[in-house]
Amino acid sequence: MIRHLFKLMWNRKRGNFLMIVEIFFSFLVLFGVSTLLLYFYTNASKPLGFKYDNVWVLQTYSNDMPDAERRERTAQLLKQLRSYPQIEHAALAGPNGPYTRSSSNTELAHDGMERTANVITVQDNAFKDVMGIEMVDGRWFNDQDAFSNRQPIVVTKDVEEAFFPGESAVGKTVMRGDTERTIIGVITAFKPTGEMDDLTSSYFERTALEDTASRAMGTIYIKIKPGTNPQFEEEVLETAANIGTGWTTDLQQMPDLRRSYLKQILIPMIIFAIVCAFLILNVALGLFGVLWHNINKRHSEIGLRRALGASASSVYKQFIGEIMVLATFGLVIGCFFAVQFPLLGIIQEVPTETFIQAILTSVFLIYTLVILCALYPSKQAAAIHPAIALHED
Amino acid sequence: MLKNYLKIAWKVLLRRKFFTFISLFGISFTLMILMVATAMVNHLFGPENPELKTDRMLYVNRLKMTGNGYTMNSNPGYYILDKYVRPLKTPQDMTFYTSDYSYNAYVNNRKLPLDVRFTDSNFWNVLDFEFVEGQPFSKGDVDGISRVAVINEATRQNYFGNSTNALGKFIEVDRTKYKVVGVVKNVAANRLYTYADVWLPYTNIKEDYRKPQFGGSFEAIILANSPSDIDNIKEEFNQAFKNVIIPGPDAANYKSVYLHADTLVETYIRGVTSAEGEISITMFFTWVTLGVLFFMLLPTINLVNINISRIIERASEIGVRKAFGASSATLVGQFLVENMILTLIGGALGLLLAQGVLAYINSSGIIPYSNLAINPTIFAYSFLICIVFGFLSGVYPAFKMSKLHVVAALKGGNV
Repeated sequence: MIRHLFKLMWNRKRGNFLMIVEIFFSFLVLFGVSTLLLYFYTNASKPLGFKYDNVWVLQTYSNDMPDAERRERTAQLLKQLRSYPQIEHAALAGPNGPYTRSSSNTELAHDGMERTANVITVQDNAFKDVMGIEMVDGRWFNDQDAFSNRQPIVVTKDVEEAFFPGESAVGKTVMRGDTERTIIGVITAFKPTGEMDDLTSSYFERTALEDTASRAMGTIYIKIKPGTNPQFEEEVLETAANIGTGWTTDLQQMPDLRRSYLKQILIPMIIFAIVCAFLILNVALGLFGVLWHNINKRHSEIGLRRALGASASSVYKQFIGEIMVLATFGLVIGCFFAVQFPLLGIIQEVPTETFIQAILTSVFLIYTLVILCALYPSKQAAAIHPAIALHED
Repeated sequence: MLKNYLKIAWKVLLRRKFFTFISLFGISFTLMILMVATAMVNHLFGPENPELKTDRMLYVNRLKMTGNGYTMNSNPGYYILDKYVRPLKTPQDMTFYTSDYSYNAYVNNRKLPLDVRFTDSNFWNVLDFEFVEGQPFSKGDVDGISRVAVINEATRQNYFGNSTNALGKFIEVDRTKYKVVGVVKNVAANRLYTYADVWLPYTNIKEDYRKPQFGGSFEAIILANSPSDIDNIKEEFNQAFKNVIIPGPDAANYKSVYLHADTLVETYIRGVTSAEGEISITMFFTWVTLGVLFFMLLPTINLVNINISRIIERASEIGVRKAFGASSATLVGQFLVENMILTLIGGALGLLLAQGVLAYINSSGIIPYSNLAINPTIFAYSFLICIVFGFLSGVYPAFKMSKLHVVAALKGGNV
């Protein structure tokens, strides 16, 4: 039966050429969209590892203030901020916190393996409490860690799993460049580049503000008590301006930063998806029209088959089968192009599994689409009465 | 003759309403998307408030330094512009200003984010801002470090409430009060190099912007005497940057300096490709054209498919016309005209849809202060797109039809 159908369609390949081309391009479009959506979905389904609610980010730029004075003032500002009853925690860290659009990453290495990770420098012990980071193993930093010559770091769980599968990473060392770092703690996850990003690994290092050998950080992450009046923002900025004379400061709420981050990624994606959905709808309508027309043209053939004893359901099945064979021709060519992406590694960021999922999804969608388009015309064909059909010609 | 074609076309359209609907749906949506895209591109690159003289403007805003494994991308600083760009002889005029800084102002316990640019006084000559009230700040204001500001209409509304008069009032930016001397029409946020809410004299920058280092947060726009002068300026510009000496601590880390005077389109291409050399515009347009064609491919094939189906229905008509001596060329012409009519109706629908989409984008605030609209240029482009689309989707079915053998056609045979 199936072989017969293939033969039938192969013989009519010239007449059906345009439909095959149409299905081929529809497949490519669907493959593109589903790759993109699956890529972001996979990224977004991995845990963020922090909580952004009620977190404020205070950026300070000391402009031309001498370094020593800057450090002194920053410490003073932190102390002042922590004394407010509205502030639960305040932490001094690098500028590349969650959703700040600033990022910094580096390679960690162990035993010949390399892994890219975000690196976040914290200058006190409060960052974990501000961001609601959860420990899995070991401990978070304490004041001595800044001066320890073991270069202590805290890593995310996936770094531990990659370098030390099945065992605890605490106390083990990894390499960054040619210096050794000791892992003192493991946290569940930390994705400062946001949920849509594919970089899941991160590690933290601890320096001290009073240690002039390390760079002074200027970003203060503040955890606000829930229900604090937004007016308090102004008070925080006032405090920062009074202590840091001549500084430039900027205060943002992390939920706002997240919103604009998501907007930037989601809006182009939605536009792209809408355009592609329209293309596919267009193709579906066209296929429906053409199939309807083609099947209507084959009245006498259907009449003859029915007169020779074929049941209505076998006529029905034949037409559905024909369109599926047609789709298969288009899909085979389409898949040939699609598999080049993972095979040649054209887009490095997207893992092979995502490509395979995208191909399977698109194949499934195309078959569903053509069957839906063929359903009504085939039903009509099957309902043809042999006597009437034969009479017509 | 044409009148006859029109009549036939109209009758054919009405005969098979479902097919007509599919065709029109495909055509109008395809053309709508292309029109919206054209409007967007025009909004990005075309001459628009305040950059009306885009054909005479060169933008300098991306500095790249490399060497010893280091790469730095930033805006150029005041120092490099002052030292190497200001002495250029060919330009008519030029302006130095900063990229936008964001500050929060607080009005009645409400946060009001403000995008602020620090500019020189030439900024107002090179660009054509539309002043609603007041006037720009002068060279005297800049040199005298006056605390004066030009704001846009939205800021006037948000900061001072519904009053139409903001002149002489004070606006607080980064804890400093500035006196408003002018109010301009809103500039759309996609005008990356001129857009802001507040413009201040650059001498008010708090840090030492004159310090001898190449990186910084400045930008420049160079104005040419005429569009044909653009190439001369580029040449002089590149000549000036042949032998630069990197000052300060950067000298140890960096060897090469890349700074370009680009047209507006080129700055975008450089932003995407981060190319170091000259940009090939032809290459860019080839890619864009290919992209558009690829997008139009699917709807076109779809339409061709439908058209072929519709022609088969009319095989006997074609047979009769051929039997009475109509040449293939006449038949192709007739069918193309019919298809053009269909496309133009679809195009008109698409234009209406595009208006709706653009109005929606403007009101949604996705692009702050955007005023996307269909103007004569876009309309002309859209018309061109319609013609191309109609031709592409009509020519193959028409060709197939004209090749039909008379006898077969009269019998209602297969195409």
